[in-house]
Formats: sequence, structure tokens, C-alpha cells
Amino acid sequence: MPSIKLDNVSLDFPVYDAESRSLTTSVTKLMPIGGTIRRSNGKRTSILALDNISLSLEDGDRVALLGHNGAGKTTLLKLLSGFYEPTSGSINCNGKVSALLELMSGMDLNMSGQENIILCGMLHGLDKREIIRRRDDIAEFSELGDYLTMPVRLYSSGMMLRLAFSICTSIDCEILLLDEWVGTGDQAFIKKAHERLSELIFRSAILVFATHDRTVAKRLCNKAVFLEHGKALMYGDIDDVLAYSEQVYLDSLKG
Amino acid sequence: MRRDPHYISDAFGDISLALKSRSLWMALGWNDVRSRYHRSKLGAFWASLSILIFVSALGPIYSNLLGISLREYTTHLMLGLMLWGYISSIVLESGREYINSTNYLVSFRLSYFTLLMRVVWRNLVVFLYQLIVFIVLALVLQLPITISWIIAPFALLAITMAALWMALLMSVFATRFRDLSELVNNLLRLVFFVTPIMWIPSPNTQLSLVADLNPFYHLIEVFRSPVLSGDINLQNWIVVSAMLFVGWLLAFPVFAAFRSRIAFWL
Repeated sequence: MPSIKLDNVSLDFPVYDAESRSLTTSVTKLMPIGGTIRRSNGKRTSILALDNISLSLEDGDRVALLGHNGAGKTTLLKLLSGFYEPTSGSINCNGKVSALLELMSGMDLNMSGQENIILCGMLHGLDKREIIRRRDDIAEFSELGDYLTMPVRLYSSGMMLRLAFSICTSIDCEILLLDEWVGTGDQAFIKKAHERLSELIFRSAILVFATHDRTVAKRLCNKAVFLEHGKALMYGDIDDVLAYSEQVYLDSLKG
Repeated sequence: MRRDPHYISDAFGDISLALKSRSLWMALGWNDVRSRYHRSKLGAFWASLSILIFVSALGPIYSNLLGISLREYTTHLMLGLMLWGYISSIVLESGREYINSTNYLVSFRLSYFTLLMRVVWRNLVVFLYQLIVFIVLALVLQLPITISWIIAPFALLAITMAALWMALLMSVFATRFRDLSELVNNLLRLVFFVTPIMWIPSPNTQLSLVADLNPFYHLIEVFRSPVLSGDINLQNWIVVSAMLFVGWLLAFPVFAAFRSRIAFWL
């Protein structure tokens, strides 16, 4: 059974090329943006990107990550994908993870669409046989036709997006990590894309989705985490967390 | 905390994941070679050609200067340059590999060792292209083909394993300390001149001592000596075995200890 368990996870990010200036620290403390910047002995700078987070996700959980810019949403996704390991605490991830954090990554502009389908499939951990089995479906969904034999650098950005999207939504996984989904491309494709994305979410056991869009969050998710300064201020039912974050927002307006 | 056993098992997991994803690093490495020579007519044969041009320009002059037959000198020089290029490129390119592949590491479950194998593979492809031209040269110069040639693939494997532990160390430290790549680049250039590639040590001279004390000489000789003279030198193999043993004993724990920190250094 796929599951994710985080126990007091913190991520203290060393920064090697920041100037030590005390002014910035005091300013960011007042604003809800970013993780806490820490300096020990004025020498070593680090950012506490995630601060003591404990979460337990199970099969059927569709979790929205809410919070301001730099609250730790993407960092948390990168931790779940296995890119970062926690600097303290423990993480236990059961199940095949697929992280759609950057849509275009893995694409080689000098290679043709067909070659990119194979390369990206391999990067996602599929073997050759599986990729060949899915190739026609990917090609058909992208609607790129003969362009698939052309180098990707000749594509328009919308065409590239079609290809990238078609590839990464064809990968089956148990735990799906999605970063802020930006919809470009023509209207007809966006509709198709949303349907396909919904199917992918339906097929996966757990979804973790970082977003600012409350309506999308409400449509796709049943739970939510509200992050601020890397702390999980609230975790629970999506409606409760949305109401809470609304309250936090209103409070911040009042000052 | 870093001696915690899970660091060791994670590092083993990293390496075994790389060995399982062979088709991936072969594809990535091959693409690297292809894109380096993208749209050029000769493609990867440029790697062979550039060595051939160098050897045919330098060969007649240096063989004269050193008083060695043209055939002996050119084959020695060409094979030496190829092997040196293979080893030093693997080590140097590993210093930049994680940084250049950050977007792969973020988006996919790739092990770090997979990326090192990609570096090995693209350099192996180049080496094999050069080897084709070397064999043609050897036939033209009527170099005797002996039974000792069958040791060559094993020698290449040993050389690759040695280059890999150096690459492993390099990849960890050069990602953290960005000056290291430049420093090692300069050091390797010095080692190149000290190693018998452009010159041949005559036995029992001071120069032969310089060669014998240099581990890179033995690393090159395990391949070069059986191919060129048919000799399989036990001393070379002893030094290379020791290098492999000590090197991996050093590099693996370092990799295991710092592996989880690499993502923060990118």
C-alpha cells in the first residue's frame, strides 16, 4: 500500500554564495515570504527551508500544498521525490514516485520528437519495451503528426509543451507529485490536457500538488497543508485549510 | 551521524541502481557524443582524426629527436594519447557532471553513479572510435598482432575501474569546491608531461625510475605494453591492482558519507 510518512523533517539548506548582511534577516522576518535565513557566527549562512514537518499520507489522499512564495512547497516536493534528503528527521516513502516538477526537463532540443519520447521514457525509469508500447499513444495525444520526426528546437513553445505534457502524463505511478501547473497552449489542448491529468491523478494512489490556485486545489484535492516559513501550520481537510489560509491572509491585511 | 550504516547501504543502492539502468546511461552517453559532433560529416571520427593529425605531425620529428623508429614512436604516442585522454576526461568531466545535470537529478530518480557511468560511456565511445583508426594505423605500419592483444579488454576494464574511483572522488569534491576542477585540470596537465606518453623511458635510467614511480604510467602500460610489444608486465598489473584496491577503499566511504549532501551543493 503506497504511503508517505514524514517525522519531524527539517531541511537546513547551506548557502555558499550569499553575502552576510544582517539587514535582510530582519526584513524577511516580518514578511511571510521564504524560509528562515540563519547565520551561525556570522559566517555560515543557511536557509531553514522546511521546519520540523510531520505528515502521514495514505492511499486516496489528494493533498494540496498551499502557502506564499518560498513557503517551502517546491522544496517539500523535491524532498518527497528523493532529490533532497532531510537534514534532520526521517522520511519514509513507499511506492513508485513520479515528480512532474518541471515539464520540459529531459528534453533534448537537437533530437526529434520521437527520440525525445524514448529518452524521456527512459529517464522516467521505463524500459524500452514499455516505451515502444506507449509511443503511439503519446504521439497521438500530442497531435504533432509528422513534426515528431523533426528536431524539437524547430517546435513552437506550445508544441514543445504538447510533447512534454504527453510524455510525462503517460507515466504510471503510485505517488504523483505536481508543481504549479501552468496552462499555456491553445484552448482545445488545455481542455484535453486537464482531462488527461485528471486521469493520471485518478490512477495514482497519492497526489501531492503545490499550487496557489484555490479553485484548482479544491477541484483536485481532498486534503491540504498550509506552509509558512517552512512550517506546516495546518494539515487537514481541504475546506478547513482553505478557510484557515483565508483567515491568515485577512489577518495579514489588518497588520 | 555520517557513519550511520544507512549511508553505506544508500551508497550501495545508488551504485546498484546505476548498474540496473545500463540502457539509460548508454543512451545518455551516446547522445552526448552525437550532439558534440551534431551535423558534422565525420561525426565522432573527428576525435580519431584530431589524434591522427597530431601524431603524424609530431611522430617524424620526435622519433628523430629521441632516436626511436617511426613505427615504434607513433604507435606508442597514439595509444598513450588515447588512453590518457580517456582517463583524464572521465576524471575532469565528472567534476562538472552533477552540476550540468541538475535538472535531470531534480526531475527523475537518477542515481549519481548513473551520471558517472554516462561520462564513462561517452568517453568509451570516443575511445573506441579512436581505436578503429589506431588498428588501421597498426595494420599500415605492419605492427605484429600477437596473442597478447586478448588482454586489452581486461586492461581497459581495469583502467575504467581506476578512472571511476577518481571520478567518484572528483564528482563529490568538485561539486562542493568549485575551484577543484581548475586545479585538477592544471595538475593533470603536469602529470601528462611526466608520464611516458610523448617520450619512452629507456630501461634502468633515471627516467625509467620517474616512470615507475608514476601510477598513471602503469595504468597506461597495462593496455599499451601488450598491444605494442606483446609483453604482459606483472609489475604493471600489481600497481594497478593496488591502485584499484586503495582507491575504492578511499573513494567509496567518501561518496557514502557525502552523497546526501551533494543535492545542496548544486
